[in-house]
Amino acid sequence: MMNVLADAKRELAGRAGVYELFAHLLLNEVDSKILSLFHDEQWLRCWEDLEIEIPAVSEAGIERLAVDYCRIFIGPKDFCPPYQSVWEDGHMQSDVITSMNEYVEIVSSGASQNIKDHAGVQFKMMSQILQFEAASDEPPSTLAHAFFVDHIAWTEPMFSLASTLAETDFYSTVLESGKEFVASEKSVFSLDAID
Amino acid sequence: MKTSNSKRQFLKLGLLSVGTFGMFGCDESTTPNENSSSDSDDSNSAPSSSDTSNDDASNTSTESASRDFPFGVDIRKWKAGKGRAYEIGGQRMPGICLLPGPNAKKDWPPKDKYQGAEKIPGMCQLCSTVCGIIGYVKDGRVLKVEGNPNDPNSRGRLCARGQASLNHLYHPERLLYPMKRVGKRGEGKWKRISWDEALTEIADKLRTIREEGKQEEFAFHQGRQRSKDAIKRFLDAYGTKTQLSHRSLCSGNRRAANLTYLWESDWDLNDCENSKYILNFGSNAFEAHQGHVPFLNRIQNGRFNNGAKMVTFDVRLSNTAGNSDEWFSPFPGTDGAVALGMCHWILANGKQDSEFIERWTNVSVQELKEHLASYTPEWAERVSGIPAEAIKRIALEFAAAAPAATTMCNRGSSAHLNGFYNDRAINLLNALVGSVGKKGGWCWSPWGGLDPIAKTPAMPDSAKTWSVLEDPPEYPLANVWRRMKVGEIVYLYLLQGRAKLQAYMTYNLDSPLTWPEESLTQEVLANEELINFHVCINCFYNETAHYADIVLPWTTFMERWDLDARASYNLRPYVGIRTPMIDPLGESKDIRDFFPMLAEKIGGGMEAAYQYGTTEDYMEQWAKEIPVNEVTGKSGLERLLEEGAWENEKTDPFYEPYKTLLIEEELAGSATDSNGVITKDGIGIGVMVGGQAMRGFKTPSRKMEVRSLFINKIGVNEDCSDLINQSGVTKTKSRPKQHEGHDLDIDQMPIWLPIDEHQSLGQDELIMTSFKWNVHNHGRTMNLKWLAEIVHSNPAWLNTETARELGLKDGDWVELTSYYSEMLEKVSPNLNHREPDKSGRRVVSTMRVPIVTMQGLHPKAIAMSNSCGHWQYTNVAKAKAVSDDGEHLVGSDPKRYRDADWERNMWWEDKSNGDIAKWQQNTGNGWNQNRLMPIAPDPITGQQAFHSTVVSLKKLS
Repeated sequence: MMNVLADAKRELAGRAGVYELFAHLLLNEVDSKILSLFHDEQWLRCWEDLEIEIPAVSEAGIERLAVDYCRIFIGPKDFCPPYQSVWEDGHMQSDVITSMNEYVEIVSSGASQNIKDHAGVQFKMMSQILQFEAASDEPPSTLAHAFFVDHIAWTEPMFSLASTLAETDFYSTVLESGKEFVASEKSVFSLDAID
Repeated sequence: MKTSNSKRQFLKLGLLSVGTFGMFGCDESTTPNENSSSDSDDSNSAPSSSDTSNDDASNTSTESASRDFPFGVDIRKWKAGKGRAYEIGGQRMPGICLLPGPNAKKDWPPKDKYQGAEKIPGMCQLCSTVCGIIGYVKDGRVLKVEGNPNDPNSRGRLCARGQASLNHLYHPERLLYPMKRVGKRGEGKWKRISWDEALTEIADKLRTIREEGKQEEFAFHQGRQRSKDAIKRFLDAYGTKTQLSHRSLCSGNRRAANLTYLWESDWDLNDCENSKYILNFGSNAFEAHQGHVPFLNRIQNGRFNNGAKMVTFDVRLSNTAGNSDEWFSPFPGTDGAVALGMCHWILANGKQDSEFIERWTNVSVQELKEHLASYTPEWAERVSGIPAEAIKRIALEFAAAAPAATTMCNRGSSAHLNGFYNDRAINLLNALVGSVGKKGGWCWSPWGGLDPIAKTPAMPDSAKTWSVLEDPPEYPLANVWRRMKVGEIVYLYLLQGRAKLQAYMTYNLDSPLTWPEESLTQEVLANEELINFHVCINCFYNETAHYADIVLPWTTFMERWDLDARASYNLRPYVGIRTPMIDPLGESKDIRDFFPMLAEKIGGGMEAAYQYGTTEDYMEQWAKEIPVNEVTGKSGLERLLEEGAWENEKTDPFYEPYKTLLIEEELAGSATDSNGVITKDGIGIGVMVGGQAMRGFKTPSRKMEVRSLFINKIGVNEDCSDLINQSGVTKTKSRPKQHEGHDLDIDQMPIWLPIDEHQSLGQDELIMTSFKWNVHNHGRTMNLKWLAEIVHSNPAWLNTETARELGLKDGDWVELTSYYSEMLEKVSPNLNHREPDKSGRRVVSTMRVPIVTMQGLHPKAIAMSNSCGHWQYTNVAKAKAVSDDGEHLVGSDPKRYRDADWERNMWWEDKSNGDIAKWQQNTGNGWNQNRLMPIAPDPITGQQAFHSTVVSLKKLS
């Protein structure tokens, strides 16, 4: 029983970490520090298992990644806006923000990004919720489930489009894996039927 | 990859990741270009100093929060509130975010949408009229924009453009982060950088230029700007006078004509609300006019409340013409001839206001009769095609209604190669009937903007440099009263090597679309030898941004501060306010916020211009003299924030200012010359009229200058310092060095000037004219879906009969070829940059467009609206629902989103792939008319002659 509980907590912590990782990758370009971290042996093994190749740390390579990140998420044109409002209502700051405001009262985002429905911000919050659940002695609440339905599930097609826009192998594979992760989370939350 | 395997691999990765990225607590940030003060936040750039303090605050808050709310999660709040009703697997999830699908629309809009919303005042900036607005703000979002009834000029009205403010603010393709070019200029490859990086690079470049002593090689080029003080502060502190604008593409001739008569104002304010007769030459005030909504409201009040008759002369049956009592279509560019014919007839029938003419103008009735002798209505009919009988009748009707009668124009009459003289002739009508400055007549005010009660903190000394780009010597009246500049020659002069630009900063500008000769503009912008370094400040990635080296995301007008006002139709000044209704989205910033940062980085004493504190401190100081509202007890900025505008109702409307008697104190120490001009210390202060000392007009003669010796002298560079002194207008300076290049015989009187190439048009030749729809401005609104949906295409209008003669019908495609002006070839050789073709003509460009046939167009004109034909500026402006690689754009797939009719749903996407046989009418995003327009400045003022271009037309089979 204790082992089952410990496994469950470990799983929560692991999932929290994935959310944290994607939050960072959604909000930030990859710099030399992060790339060097990804080249750490333990990390490399994980990436290899996911069939994601980490580019070498070089100035040219990092600029290529920065250009790709910009093309995918910033623009200036034909990009993939990582904002839930845009995906669901076609414009920034839709009624989605009202829901996010309610969640932000419960889960602090800790981000200075002022666009609350940025997928990266939402992933950060989800990570915090799961970390909380992992550390808590109480039974799991419905918070994670609700937040996933309201503000994470939408990202699956977003990751899909972003991955097709990517010109570097790194981003195309990482973003594809983001899509797979969200899909797997749907099954965790038993939401396979949700579109 | 099997799901179970990838799930396991994700968990392994996650366990490595958790806590690594400084999620919560004191971990080192791993963001690029980070400052060490940045904490656990994954902010996207190095924070500004204010951002740093917020990060410090959040550090403290997260530390304390971690004790009370582990991982920032207040689970008690969840369980007590939103989470209480939450049921996993229940029918409907709580929360506002409805699942997409058709059912969502049944709940829209929610009835409590505006409950609890805060009303925050502001001012629109989607055209130059700057109507007051109210933003309804709730939960940090603007939900609705409407007109502010407290705005004394716009009176609470707001046009379609203003209503589309939300499209502008929440556009999914807004620029939100600074970006730096990677690769070649114009290649379209960018990377995001921090503000600190951007400003540091810009400062390094500008500092070098400044230290070289070549400040004039830094040019600031503005499109529509309403923060004149902020721009002037920066440029003067830097020391460059190379501030370029689009004034000459807009209203240069109208302003010059007004200035010739009045000197103290370039802007006539036709008092239509109190008029009995409105004579409109080429103005489309019902759709597009600087002063649009305030003006239109007063025109309609005059017509409905006073029974004012409105007669319009316009080449095209515009919506203004269609709403008039009578419409006439003169030959393009002949409005001046019609006006002169009317003047002749008024005098011939003794219907002039002789007293006004003799007393208040610098000509006599006899002089005018002699001057106008040959400008008979019959002559005007031969020139314009307007029946002489109509000219006579309308002239007498106009005179009979005076003084409550006024002309109006801009820019159908003025954007011609003879536009300066056209508008001089039109203005003369008001002088003849004595409606000048009268209630219901042709008025003006000396306050072109804010009430002088609003004073900014001290400004730096004015810059003293000179650049041919800003002050070309070829155009005598361009900069003589005030700096109207000649924007359309900028790129040509750079190409000709007449100036060098080490740095170029563009601000809300879209020159490749809105400037004539689109290809030349792009050629110069792309050339790093001609423009070494280009910084573009804009809300969107437009055609200008595409050629930048650094792009800075600008705030919209709902996210920044200004005090602002237009020349008011109440004939007295006011103060309006533009307020940040919400925090700027993303990392967008206003120049009021980053110019001080840039100045500090440039150094060299520039920072001295920014000692006033924060932007809000600046606004407090600027507004501090706004008096107290006796009811609310609020004054200054506080009062403006509540009311949105302030007008001193104790100031009398500026009627008949010339009759103001001068008091003893003003007259002490003065001298009067033989012409009755009163001067004090050599500066004009008034004029003796009927034995009384009166203010008069602020002109050299102190009368309304029908005859202007000044413009004649300036045209040939004769000294005018005495004339300037007599006027008492301090903005006008004698600049003999700058006038050295002038050698133009500018007639002292309003005359008719024919345009050579219009006199002998071939059968397949027409005169191209341009117009604007009521839902667009020239270059900044086609990205707004609510507006683009209404007008997105601009086929060429052709008269029905003309089309029949040319074997054309509605929907046919034609090839238009445009030509440089033969008149300008002789008068302005500085413009010649293309060799003639085999036929001996200089071709500008060709373009293929469809036509629509209209009875409401002059037979020798062809008309296209501007605003269309973007090739950047968001997918809405390009009318692309699908991106180049064929994927649906986010939100454009109706299956994926619940379109509240915002940015997508572009049903007008052109699917013909350039095959004109497959093109569907009213699809696509139109054609950029400026591809055909030559650079064609009026030789006198530099006004771009948008309506004078000769084109030939060929049917495409």
